[in-house]
Parts: sequence; C-alpha cells; structure tokens
Amino acid sequence: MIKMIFKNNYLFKIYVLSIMLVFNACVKNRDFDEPELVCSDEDFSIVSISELKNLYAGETVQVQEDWVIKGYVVSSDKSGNFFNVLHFQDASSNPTEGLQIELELRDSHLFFDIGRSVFIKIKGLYLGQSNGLFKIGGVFTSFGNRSVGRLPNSVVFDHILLSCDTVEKILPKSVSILELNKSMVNTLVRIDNIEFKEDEIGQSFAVEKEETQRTLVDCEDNELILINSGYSDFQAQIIPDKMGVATGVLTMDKNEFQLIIRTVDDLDFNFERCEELIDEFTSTSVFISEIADPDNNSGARFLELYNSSNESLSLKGWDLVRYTNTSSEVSSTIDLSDYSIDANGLIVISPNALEFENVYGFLPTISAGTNSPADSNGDDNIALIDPFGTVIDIFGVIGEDGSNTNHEFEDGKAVRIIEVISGNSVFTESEWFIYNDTGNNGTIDKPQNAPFDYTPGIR
Amino acid sequence: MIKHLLFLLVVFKISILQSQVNSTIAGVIEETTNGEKITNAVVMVEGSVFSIGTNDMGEFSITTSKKGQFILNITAQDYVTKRIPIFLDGVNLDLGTIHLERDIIFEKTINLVNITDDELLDDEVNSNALALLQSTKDIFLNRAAFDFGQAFFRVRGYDSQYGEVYLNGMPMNKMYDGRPQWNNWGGLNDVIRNQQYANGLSASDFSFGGILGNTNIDLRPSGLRPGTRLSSSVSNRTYSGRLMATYNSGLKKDKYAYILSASRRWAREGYIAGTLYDSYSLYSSFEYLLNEQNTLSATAIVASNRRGRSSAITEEVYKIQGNRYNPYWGFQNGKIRNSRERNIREPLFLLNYNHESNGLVIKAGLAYQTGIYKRSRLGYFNAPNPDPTYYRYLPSFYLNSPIGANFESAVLAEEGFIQNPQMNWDNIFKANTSLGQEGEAAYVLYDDTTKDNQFTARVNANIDINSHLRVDFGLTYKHLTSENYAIIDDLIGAQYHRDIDTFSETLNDVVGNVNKQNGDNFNYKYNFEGNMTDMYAQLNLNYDKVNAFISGKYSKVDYQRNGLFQNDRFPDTSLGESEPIQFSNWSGKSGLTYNITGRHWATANTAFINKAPLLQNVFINPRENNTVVPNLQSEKITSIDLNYFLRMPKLTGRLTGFYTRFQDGTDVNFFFVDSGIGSDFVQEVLTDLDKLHLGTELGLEYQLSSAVKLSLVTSVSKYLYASDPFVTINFDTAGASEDLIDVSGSKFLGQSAIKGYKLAQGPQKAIAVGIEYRDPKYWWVSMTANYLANNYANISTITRTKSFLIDPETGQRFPDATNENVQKLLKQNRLDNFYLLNLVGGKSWLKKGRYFSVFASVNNVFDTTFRTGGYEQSRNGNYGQLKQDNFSGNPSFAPKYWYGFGRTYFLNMAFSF
Repeated sequence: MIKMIFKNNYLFKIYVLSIMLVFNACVKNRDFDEPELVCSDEDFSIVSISELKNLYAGETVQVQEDWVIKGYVVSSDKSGNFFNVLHFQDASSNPTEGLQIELELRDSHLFFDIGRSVFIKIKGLYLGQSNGLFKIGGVFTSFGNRSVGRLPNSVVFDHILLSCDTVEKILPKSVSILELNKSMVNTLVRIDNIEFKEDEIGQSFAVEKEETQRTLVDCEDNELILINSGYSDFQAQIIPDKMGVATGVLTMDKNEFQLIIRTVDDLDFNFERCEELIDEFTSTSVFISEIADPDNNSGARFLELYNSSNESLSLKGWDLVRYTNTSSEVSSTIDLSDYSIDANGLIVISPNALEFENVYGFLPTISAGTNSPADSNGDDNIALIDPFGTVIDIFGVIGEDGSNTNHEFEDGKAVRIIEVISGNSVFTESEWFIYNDTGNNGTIDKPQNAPFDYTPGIR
Repeated sequence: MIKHLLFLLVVFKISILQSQVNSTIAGVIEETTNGEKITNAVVMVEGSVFSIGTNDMGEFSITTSKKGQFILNITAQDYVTKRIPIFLDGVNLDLGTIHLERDIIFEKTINLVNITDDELLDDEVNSNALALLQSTKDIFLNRAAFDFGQAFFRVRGYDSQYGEVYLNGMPMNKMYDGRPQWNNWGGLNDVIRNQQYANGLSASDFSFGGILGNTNIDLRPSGLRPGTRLSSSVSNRTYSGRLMATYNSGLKKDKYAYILSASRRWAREGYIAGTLYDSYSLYSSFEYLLNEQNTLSATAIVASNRRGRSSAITEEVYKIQGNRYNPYWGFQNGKIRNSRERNIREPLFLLNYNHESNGLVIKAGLAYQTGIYKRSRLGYFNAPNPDPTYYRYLPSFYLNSPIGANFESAVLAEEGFIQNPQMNWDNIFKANTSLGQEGEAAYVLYDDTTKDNQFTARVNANIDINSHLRVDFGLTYKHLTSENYAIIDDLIGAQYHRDIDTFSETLNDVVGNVNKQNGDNFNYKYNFEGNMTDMYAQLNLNYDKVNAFISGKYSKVDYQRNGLFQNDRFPDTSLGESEPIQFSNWSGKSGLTYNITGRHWATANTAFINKAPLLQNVFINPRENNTVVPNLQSEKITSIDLNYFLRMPKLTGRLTGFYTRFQDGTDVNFFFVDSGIGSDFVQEVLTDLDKLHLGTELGLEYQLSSAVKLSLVTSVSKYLYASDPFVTINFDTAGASEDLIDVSGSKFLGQSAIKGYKLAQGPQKAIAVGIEYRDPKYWWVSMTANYLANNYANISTITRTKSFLIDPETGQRFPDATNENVQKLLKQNRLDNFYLLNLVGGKSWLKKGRYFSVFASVNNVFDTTFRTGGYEQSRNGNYGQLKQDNFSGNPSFAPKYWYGFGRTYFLNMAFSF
C-alpha cells in the first residue's frame, strides 16, 4: 500500500533505504552461551626457575628478558591462610624447584586451582630475595629499598596464563624435618610422624588477625615452625593433639624453614602422639650431705650433695629450693639440670666461688647466686626436688624459722650422719649433726670456723 | 481538542458565546497550501482566559468585553501559531480567512523524548522532569527541555516528583519515589502529543498539582490527527535506530475512532560504551462516542524498555578512559555483556469516561498497571570485586599507599587498566566452574526486581457556575501492592548459589533452602502495600482585570511492609508485617492575575503543601527488616512565585521570581563508611532536612522578521541546604561483636553541618541565546548557544557530623583537625562551567496530502566535555582517612561524576498520509 502511494517517488526509495539501514542492527538478548575457557596452549620456550633466579644479583630487579616460566600451583587461598600470593613448583611430582608470585588478587583459588599449570610471562615482573626466599611480583619501595610487592590486579592475567593442560594432582615430596633443604622452598612437602609441641596443645591455630607461629615436632624432637594467618577460616580452631602427616607449602624466614598449610585437612593427625623420649630420672640416693654457715666467714658458705648409689645420675630436671625463714613459698631455686652426679660422688655448690676457692683451695662444682639455697644463714629450710616434683630430701621444716630449733645451723653447720644412705622427705633430727651458736633442742652449741671445721667434697 | 494554553492560570473552554459582551471576532481557518479547513484550532485573545475551538467548517467566533489593543492567538496541532494584532472598541470584527502554515518544527517537539526520557543516568541518581515540558510553547521551558536538558538542568532545581503527570486524567507518579516513569509509554511519541501543561504553581483544571508543574496527556484518538504516520531515526545518543508507525482511524460513522501505534528503538551500544538499548512499545486505544457529550475510551499501553546502564566515574578514571567509559560491561564470546541492565515492562490499561456539556466537564477513569522493574547486578561472594574501577585496582591505590607512594606500581596498574578496561566475563565463568568451588557460585548475575500491581480510580469535574466562577474538584484513590525480591538470572556456569550474607556469615532465608538455583528468589523478599486517597477542590474567579483561584487538598496515605524472608541478622523483625504507617495532610494554594493591559499582565501564586514521605524514605532497610524511620514527618513545602508576562506583537516573554522552602524532609542513604566511630555498611537516615530554592527565570523571544526569530533565556538561581539535619546510622549487629559501632544496631551522630552547602540539582545558572530561521520554502534551522554554570556534586552528610573529627584508633579528636583544616577538606567544589552549541534543522515536503519531513539535530557541536553531576563517596568518614586519601591529589574515594555526551546527532525521517 505504501508502495502504491510512493510509486516512482524518489522519497520512497530513500525512505526504504534508510529503514533497511537501521534494521540490520539487532540487540543481543540476555542469554549468553558459556564462554570457552580461556587457556594458553602456545608453545612457549620455557625457562627454568633456577635460570630466572640466576638473574638475581643482590638486589630486587625488574626482569627485562622476554621469558616464560611454567609452574604447577600448589597454594590456595580458599581458607584464607594464604593472602595475595601464589606458590608454584616446576613439576607436579618430584619438583626440583618452586617460586612464589605476589599478586593484588583476593580469592585467587577461583582462577588458579591447585595442580593447575600456568605460564608466567616474566618480562616486566620484579625478582627479589630476602632471607633465602625468592619471590616475583610487582614492586614497592620503602626507605629507598625496593622489594617485591604485589603485582597490580589489572595486569595479573596478562602475566599469568592458564595452560590448557588438565589439572594434575600434586604429589607432595615426602621428607623428614632433617631432610628439608633450600631447593624444596615454595614446593609442596609432606612430613610424616609429626605433631604439635606438647606445651602448645589446647591453643588455636592463630590469634585473631595476627600471623601466628605454632611448632611442629617429629618423634625425634626436631622442630618446624607452622605459620598460620589470623584471618584464616580455621584461625579459631584448636590445633589437633594427635600425631600424623602434615602437608604444606615449605617457606623460609630468616634462614629457618616454615610450613604453611592450605586447609586444616592438610594436617592428617590420627595417630597416638610419639612416645616421650625419657631422659629424666629420679633416685632417693641423692641427698644433702653438708650445709655450711661458717662463723668466721659468711662468704665461705656452701651446700654439698651426695650420690650414695653405684651409678652416676643425670640431674636433668632436678631443683634445689630454699624456703627462707618462715616462708612457705619457694624463695630461691638452683636448677641442677646441667649437672650429673657421679656414683658415690659429691657436688659442692657455693654462692661465692672465688671466696670458696680462697678458703678451701678448690673450685666448687656449681656456682650459685647469693641468697640461693647454698647461701643460707642457718635458719632457712632447704629441699631437693626430682624432675617429677617429688621432694627427695629436706633440711628443716617448711614454714618454721630455724632459730632456736633443732634445725638451726647459724654460724655452724649441718652434717649428715655417715650411716644415712638415702634422702628423706621428712626432716629427721637424728640423721644430722647440727652445730650452731645456741645449742637448743639437741643441737651442739659450737660455732664453726672455715676452713678447718668443714669438709666440702669429702663425705 | 488540544489546549496549548500555557501561562494561563485557568484553562477554560466555553462553546456557547455570552450575549452581554461587546465585541465579536469571527473568521475561518484554513491550511495555507491546500485550503483545507482546520477544525481543531484554538482561538483566544491573549491575556484572557477564554479560548474557543473551530467548528467542523473551520469557523470560529469569539466574543469579549475587552477594549484596546490585543493579540488574537490561533493555535492548532502541527501548525505554526498565528498572532494577529487587533483593536477592540466594541465593534465586531470579521477577519475572513486566516491561513495557518504547517509547522515544520513540530518534529523537534516530537523527538524531544529522545533527549529526555532516555536519561543517561540511573533514575535513582538523576531525575529531571524535562519530558514534562515537551508540549509547551514557553520559550524558557523550551530551552530548558531542548538545550539545557543535556546538562541535566532542572527547572527551579526541582526533582521530577514535584511535577505530576496524568494520562487521560489518571495520575502516573509512582508511590515509591513520587516520580512518573516515562518509560511506561516511551517511544509512543505519536500518541502522547496532545498535552496540557500547567506551569509552576499556576492552577490546573485537572489536579491540585505539584509545585513544578503538571501535564495531562490526552491519549484519545479524537484529539489526534487522523491518518498514518511512519518515521525512522538514526542517532548516536542512547539508541542508534528507531522506527515508529501509527494509524489513527479518525472518527468513523460519527461513532468511534481508534489508534494503533508501535515503535521500536534499539542500539548495541549508545554514546556511552556498553549501553545497549532494546525497547518496543505498543499502543491501542478505542474511543466510542455515546453521543455528542459523552464518550468512552479503552486504552492499552505495553512499553518494554531494556537498557544497559552506565556508571559515574572518578576524575582519575575519566582521565585514563575518557567520557564514554563504562565499567559495567565486558565481552563474552565477542559480544557486549552489561552486568547492569535495567528492564522496565509495566503494561497499563485505562478505561475512561468523558462528559463535556454546557459548562460541565467530567472525566472519570480506572487504571490498572502491572509489571516488573528489574535492575541486574553481578553479585560476588567470597570472590574478587569484578568492577575494573574498584579502588584496589587503580593507579591511585598505589599512590595512596600508607607506606608511601608507589609510582612504579601505579604506572603498571595504569598500563593494565588501559589494556584491560572492562569486566572479564571469562574469568567470572572460570571462577564459577573452578574445581574447588564444587558447583558453588562465586559470581551470580541477578535481578533486583520490583513487581507492582497498582489500581487507580479517579474522577475530576469542572463546573462553570457562571461566566465569572468555576469550580473544579477531583477525587483519587490508588492501591499499590509491590513485591520486591532478588532473583537469580544466571549462575554463569555454577550449579547453585549459597545464600548467606558473606560479611556476617548469616542466612538470608532461614526457612528456605540455603542453596538457590537459577530463577530462585534469594537475598531478600518482601512486599509493600500502599494506599493513597486524595481530594481537592478549586475555585476560579475570572474578571476582565483580575483572575484568581484558591484550592485545597486533603490526602491520606498509608504504607506497610510485609517481610517474606526471615534472615538471621534480624530474626525478629525481618519476617511478617510492619506497623502500619499513616499520614494525612492538608495543602492549599492560591493565585492572582492582574491584567495591566492585553499585552502585559502579572501573576502571583503561593502554595503551602504538606507531603507525606515517599515510600522509599519510610523504611530504613526494607530489604532486611521492618524498622521504620523514627519520628517520621511529612515534608512541608512553602512556595511562592511572581511572574510578569509580555505579549507584544514582536516581543513576547516572561520574567519569574520564585522562592521555595522544603522543610522536615527525610532521606535514607546506604554506603560503606570508615567513620570516626567504626567501619560498617550503614543505612544513613537524615531527618529535619530543609532545602531552599530561589531564583529567577527569564524568557524573551523577538520576531526580527517573518523568517528570523531571536531568543534569550536565563535561569539564575540558588539551591541550598537550609538546615543541619540529624543523622543516624543503622547497621546489623551480626558481625564480629568487637568491631561493632554500637550493640543496639544504630547510632545517633547528631547534626550534620550542611546548612549553606549547595544542592546537586543541576546547573544553578543557565543562559541561552538562540536564533531561528524559517524559510518560506519549508525548511528551517536554529542554533542555540548555551552557558551552564554553578553545578555541584552531591555532598556526603556523614562527613559533616562530629564523628568525622574523631580518630577511630584513639577515640579522641584528631589533633590536626582544626576548624580551618576541616573546612578546607570539606569544601564543596563547583563543577566546571561550560558552553554548548546546538544546531537543529529540518525540511518538509507536502504533496497531495502526503507529508514527508526530515529533521536533524547536532548537539554539543564543539564536542565539549562536561560533567552533569556527581556525588561524594562517603567511604572516608573520618578526618585522618580523608586527609590521607587526598594527600596525593588522586584520592581512591574521590567524588564520582557523570559525564555528558560529546558531539551527537539525531536524524529523523517521517512520512504521513
């Protein structure tokens, strides 16, 4: 009908033409096909990670070489234990090397699955090293020093290309703590027979919002630091108290190896804890054999211990404690851990080694401080404690000032009767010869003078 | 019957002549070229309120008691207005045959919608009401619509909610935001041409009205030109092509008439990158004449409008990417995919009854509207923000690093941003199909959806008591049910979406399944109910020297929310019905016109309006709970305008002064803030908010010769905050308790010291000079030079509260937050002033009753870059952080701006027969 009206009319032709011009445009509806997964199967000539590391000459550098490295992703920030960093190694199993790249990209696990192989275009990235740990990424400058920083988000996917290979399972390298070496840094390792250190049991993985160190130990008591983020999903969870297998990315700080787990599932702790290595022993054969407070020289005070058994004994864990005057709290302690006592041997402890040597002519076994259990003025109470907290021997009565009692040795001495061959956790007057300047309660009123009235080192 | 009766206080129509008048003017109106009688012309003596239509023979006869020099004004749809100077002294005048020329400029009017209803911006951010003005012949409003419009000029600085729009007398302003939704009839330009507009505070005979002005669009076939009209357009603005076709049967057998109209507009992308346009509109209307006085009509409008949205950007992003940049889109399989589309499809059905008889006009109608309003978004859940302009991705992030500017990384980030400026859909798909996700979505494309059902009933009557007195009254009832929910549109390769709030790790829908599929509702779901009843009555008085009106309105509004999801953050207040909220208000307005002579008159109008808060400002956080803004108040509007009109034979014009005060306003905003008292995603409630709008409007038009017309238009105004409103922030308390701002979930921040700051309501100063040449050989060109100035970005109110001065680390005032430093930091910066040159022209051919026309316009001829508006981001809610962020001169949370179009064209060809 329109055509009839416009017959032979040039206007009509223009009109139809214009309608046709505008009609060939149509608008995309809201339904979109799934995009092809973008991946790269380009045949890059790959440079090894160690070749890249060789570019490092003491300070952070921007790589100018048009190089590509290939890596298998081993870290994941899905649980929030990694943040803006991606660790990768050069093979899915038996890697020879690993590296990490710092990125301004949160939730990078959405793009880089564990086991995904990636090509990293190195040109323009920065390479740096600190405390033995190599990193690539962007850059930041602080007080004039350049360090590797996060790669700006807008270029992340220009530098890291997904390969078209399918995701491979990463086989972590199984090692022991002692076998760890620098070539394993930034790779995934697996350590068997490992547990958290006894005194950390009951704590959470990390303090909220703080990077927190926990200590893993193997059954031989070799230690390895576990680093946990205070922002991770499992930060508040209590660390497992059993023993098992730990898998994680090995990293390094101040030349010390550290492990970072991806998720709590990386700790497969299902076995009973390692048996204790027993190196602490108790014995009642060790006891106090002489305590001295010379009338003429308080600097010549000492305390002597005797081992009546026929075997020498390590004193690891043993303490000598003093309760001053009426105190029922421990006033001072000597830790005997570093010493052992020979079979039928003696240990002499002096608060003043120099004076002791002057007076008695030889050095004491242990030099303790003033006011220590070996520096009593004669009215204090002294006990010997084994590694398990048991009182093995005691002089005096805790809470009772020795003055004018049966355990005063002021200006004198207390000497164990020779027949005594084991310690006694209850003070028994009859086991001692006690000299002092009062002579009450069966003690002997006879002040003693050093060196002649004393027998340090002789039973 | 078209009534282009602007600037008149009272629109009046009489069909019987009065006998006591002194002069009768008569004539016949014909078309110049073919001598066809024009039957729908309107004739009036300028300065009076009487107008009269021509009869079937094109004849008119108008009688007046006026004496002296006057101008007879003859208007008809699609014809050039004719103004004939006459001298009245009681003698009858027969003017014989008066010829009207076909208006070749009306194409400009018909295509105005291209500029205005297709706002570049979100409706949420910008809403100017310029489409409202398209029918006016007032030179000021014309410039405002056609020329200032592209710079988001707002007449008197008013939001479009203050202008009312009616279709066949049925109100179209939405209950939610008070604004008319032009997209509901967009593209139907051919059938919405018959408009009646009442400007400002002047009286309208169909409504009490808003303070901006009121339009009634008469859609009935009998008011429109019979015949067929086809048109096609090409442009590079919001759409690239448009086709429209309209058929009007004309009156058949004196009994009925009908119109069918259809249009399609589309673009793969508009001027702003990635902004697709996909729209179609269908219209049908049937009118049945019961008899001479009574008609019935039924109308159906289906308009679907799908748009790709664009974002405001910071100056940093603009400098790198330019004014067409839009971060919302990216390529998927080589095709543009916009993550934020807006889709409006709200079909409208009208039934109308019209009665017009001697001294009585009754209009009654029923309207039903249903449909959806959707805005899509790409949600991210434990996944990186997909927006390429996210602050951590931009160069400024490195420049503003707390350990010192990192220039090398900033350069790298900029290179990357230039290389990869758009959203990466491939990565989004990769993330959603990542092995570790095991089917769980990291990204979800979803639609925030509003599904409204609204029923409206209305009756309006105009009764002439005698020749001096007329009474108008109307009664309206509206009922709205609005369903609101998010719905999953596309899981983008994932199997399901785990519907929890990722910040607090709490469930959004406690009762429902936590894992949601494509097409499921998630995140939030609630209904709004609203009822609105209003009635008004108006008394009009008309005498030779003085016209006056007074009107009063009573309105009653109630709202209620009904939560359909129970969420874990507000277990007790999220589900079920809120308390009902009710308002009832009185309003009044009045005006007076004094006719100095037939060529000079002055008017004064005043209004006092109490307006219930909009539904959008009643609930603090309707997506989550039933909490209502405490002590909610009605807004009080006091307005006055004074106008002087000039109608000389060659020079016409208007000068207006206006003063409007808005008091006790309420506003709800939401954003993430690092404030002096803590950081959180908050809903900010402002109460006792006052605003002041005052200024002048001038429009002058001078007919230099029969072919050349000159014009001058100015708007010099001030729009200010006029009080220090109270600020309360609200937040959920489900997050980590140690970081909570306040355990009660809300915190009163005291007053925000914003009194005196400028409002972001478009340029506060605008000047245009124009020249128009109209050749007798049916072509014309016009040029306008425009100067737009004093435009401001919206300020953040939370930074003007006392909490801004507090250091969140110490809880004490920042030591260097002296008044001087703070003022310097919070100074409101004016946007740049700018010039725009626009060219318009056209030519038409008329042959054997067939009409062909070409219309072309070029806007912003010199390709000036300019900002139309913007807003301060509220993220930096404490002095230390804002100072640090501004230190490098390139803040990460800088104000965001909307950029205007550069040079654009529009070309239209139309054919009618």
